Amino acid sequence: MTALSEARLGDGDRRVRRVPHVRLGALGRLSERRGWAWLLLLPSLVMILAIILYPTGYGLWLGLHEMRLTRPDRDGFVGLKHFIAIADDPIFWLSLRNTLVWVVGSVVGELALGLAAALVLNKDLPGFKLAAALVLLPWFLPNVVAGNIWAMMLDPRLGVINDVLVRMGVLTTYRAWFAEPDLALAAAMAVEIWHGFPFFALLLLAALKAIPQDLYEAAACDGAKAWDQFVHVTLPQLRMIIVASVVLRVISLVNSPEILLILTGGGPGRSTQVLSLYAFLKAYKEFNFGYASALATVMFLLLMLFSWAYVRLSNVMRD
Amino acid sequence: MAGLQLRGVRKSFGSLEVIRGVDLDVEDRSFVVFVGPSGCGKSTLLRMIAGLEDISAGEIAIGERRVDDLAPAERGIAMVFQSYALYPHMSVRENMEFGLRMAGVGVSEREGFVTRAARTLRLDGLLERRPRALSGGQRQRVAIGRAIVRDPDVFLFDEPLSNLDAALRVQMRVELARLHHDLQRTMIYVTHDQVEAMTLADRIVVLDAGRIEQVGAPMDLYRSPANLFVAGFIGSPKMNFLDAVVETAPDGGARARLPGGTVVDVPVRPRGERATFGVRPEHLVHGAQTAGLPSLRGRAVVVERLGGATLVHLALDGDVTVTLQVAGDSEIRLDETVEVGIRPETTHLFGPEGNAWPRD
Amino acid sequence: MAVVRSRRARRRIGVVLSYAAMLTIVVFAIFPIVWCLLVSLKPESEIVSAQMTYWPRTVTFENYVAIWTRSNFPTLIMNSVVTTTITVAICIVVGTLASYAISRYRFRGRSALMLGYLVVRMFPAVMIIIPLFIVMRGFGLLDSRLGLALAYTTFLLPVFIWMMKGYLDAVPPEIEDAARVDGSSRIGAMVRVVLPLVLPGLVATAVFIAIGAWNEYLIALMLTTSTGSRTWPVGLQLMVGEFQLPWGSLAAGGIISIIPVVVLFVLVQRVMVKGLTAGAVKG
Repeated sequence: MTALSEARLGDGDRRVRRVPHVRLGALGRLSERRGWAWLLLLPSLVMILAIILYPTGYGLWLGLHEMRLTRPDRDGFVGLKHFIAIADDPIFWLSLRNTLVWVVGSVVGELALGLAAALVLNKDLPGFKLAAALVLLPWFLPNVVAGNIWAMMLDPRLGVINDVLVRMGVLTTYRAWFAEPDLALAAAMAVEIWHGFPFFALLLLAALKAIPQDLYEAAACDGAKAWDQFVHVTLPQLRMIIVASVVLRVISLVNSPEILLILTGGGPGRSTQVLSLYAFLKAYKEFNFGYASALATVMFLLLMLFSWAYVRLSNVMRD
Repeated sequence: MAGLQLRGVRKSFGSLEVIRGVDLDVEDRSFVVFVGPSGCGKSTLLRMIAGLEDISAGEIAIGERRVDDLAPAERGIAMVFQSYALYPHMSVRENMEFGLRMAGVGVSEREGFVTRAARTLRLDGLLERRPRALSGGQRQRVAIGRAIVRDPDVFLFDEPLSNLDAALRVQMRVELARLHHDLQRTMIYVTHDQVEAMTLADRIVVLDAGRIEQVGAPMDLYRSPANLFVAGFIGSPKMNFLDAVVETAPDGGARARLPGGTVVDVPVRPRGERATFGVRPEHLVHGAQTAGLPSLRGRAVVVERLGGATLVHLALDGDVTVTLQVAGDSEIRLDETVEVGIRPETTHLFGPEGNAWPRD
Repeated sequence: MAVVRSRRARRRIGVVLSYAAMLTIVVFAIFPIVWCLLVSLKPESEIVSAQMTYWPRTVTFENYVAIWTRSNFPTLIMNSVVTTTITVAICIVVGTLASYAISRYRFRGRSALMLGYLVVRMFPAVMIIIPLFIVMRGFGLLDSRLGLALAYTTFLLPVFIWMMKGYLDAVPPEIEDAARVDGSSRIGAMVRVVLPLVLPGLVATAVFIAIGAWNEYLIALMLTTSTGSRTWPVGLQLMVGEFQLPWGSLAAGGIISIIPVVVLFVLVQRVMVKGLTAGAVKG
């Protein structure tokens, strides 16, 4: 123990301090104070207030006002005028119907495909990790590129999809996918499903990997076949994440008109016009800010209502 | 020179009070162990001394310095954590140097301190490794080395051995005791393991529900626990407790009548008519030695052979069990009826509120 | 013996089927991207020919040259780079501080705050775009890269804070305690110990935010009106709509603009996936 005795310093009562006591600087001392957390939060709170809450409040306020950049003379408070007009607006109802079809169709398709992809990719074989990364790529692609690639591939004259389908004998002649009102929304949904399914694949694959293997072993011991295991082990374990990811996805699908704006602009006719697109075009093309804000408010309320009902319902169904 | 004083220290989270007024003096260079069941507040108290938790009321002083307004960095302490809390992105050397760098110690001096501490702790060849490339025992050493290098006034240990396997734990326990002997620094050590407390401490502080139950040298706590809680917590296997009816003996001591009618004259001053009678399993005698002693009779319901010793759990009349510790080669069998003798000088009586009745 | 062989055979069939399914999904996911790349390498005559070619008969880079030299594409890309950089910088500074506070401190209103950061994501983009348009016009930030970056912060800052909090939560608080006992202040421990440990997560989060800002179309369309601040998605889409941009150039522009996305994604994909799915694993 000589080394330790060496380490000992200062014999007797007065020991010599080898390492001086630390003195903190002003900033260091400030960071030890109780209000430090709020100081750290301050910039974000200011930003959230200035660029999110204030504009949102302003947006709600705008819904009760007339505001057209093209007709500034008419500006002023109009109460619920816009909301009454919305109730009587056939385009609103059409857009609402399209939104429902678009969102339900896209989410169901994305979830189904995402779940399938997650189940397939949840294997411990060489190459599957790389595959899981590749499958994520569409989700990270910009809408502008995704939309235009598909517009190219679905082109009525030169599109590769027409060519493939004709070669396979599915189609006899090329089709103009975005020109037929009935087909346009379905085609746009197909694009959206391609673009969005990796989101579900990502989350579901992670959730699948987190399921303890002994659950399956226990089920297998009880004589459960693959399908039983899927229904009684896998699905219940995925339930929460499916519920949560569906809410998130619905919110972003309802709120973002980007891919439709790029693919169809709402046409042909108004066959692919959804609410967010309607509101955006009201603002962007007509500069009718009051009416557009009222539409956005209605969308927001519908989304809140949906999220609340959906979460309630999925809780009730569990019990 | 660097003792520690706590005065009226309290801690509450909202309306929940977890430390309810602690007064404690820790002498310079002593090894003090805080022991208690989980949730008793021992770790919280240690973290309050470190400054990692605010105190709600009271004062803390290290040496002659009032520290409760100082940041942990400024208190002149070093701490070893249960999880070791090594910096994963730094090498062993950088881990050990960190505190010195913060204190503004120069490069060459740092080198010297680290090298010496590393030699002491047999970490010489590992200085350039990252923590994740070390075994559990080595990480533990690095954590201790990091504390030593700082040359602190007070060392704080928060259950440092509980992540080690049993063999290593015993080995590290011995090393810690030696370290304290060699370094001659104040050390405060938190554990829930009363064996660690007994073996390491100069003084043990028994805590329960945010209060100090008793402070004392290990053997004092063992011999004269101040209350039922300490009596039950210190010592393994646990002390036996039996309900007793008490009257004053002719010599002024307490005559305790146990369930089954056995009478023991306990050498304490009686303070009432009802009490809890306590006797340690290792103090009960068996076989020939019982002659002339008050005794209990019971059936052996469990016999645990530990090798060096054997624990026999006896069922007495009226749903009472008593544990007896006998030699490892004892031939007591399951279901055998056993008579045990009680030596009065080894027994205790505790009043209804739990406090031990004092000896003369 | 027969049983063993049949079991092994069955397992082999299972493996083959797994690979078949995996390849189908991968092809479905990346075929459009590959197709875009192929188109971008074909000469215009081959693209418009009635005879569909899958593999380019002649490989050419003329489309890349065309979009880069005969349009304002470089300016658009530059605008996007600047806007994205500002957005990421704001998020890193403001968001890291906020997520650290939320991860490390327990204070009144903490969970309400977290929920608040989530709820702001529910506001329809349109609802924010219009007021932002008016406010930015008032401050002279309309049609500016700074204004656009601020607008992006509205939806990206909350994402940054949530994701970053996940990475920070994974750093054990005891490590920070150790640093503080060792002579660091709270902020010193954050800078010297916590941030180095979450650096991969910080990079992944920043990349995620950068991709979001780089890709954004709708807000940029509304808030930018000139080449001074217009970002590439808006510019490219305008070229498609107004100037009937030839497919080859469009494909080349698309490939150029997704290269940074793909490269960044590949670099941090592992850490990013962990961060994005932290909630899924916890359930």
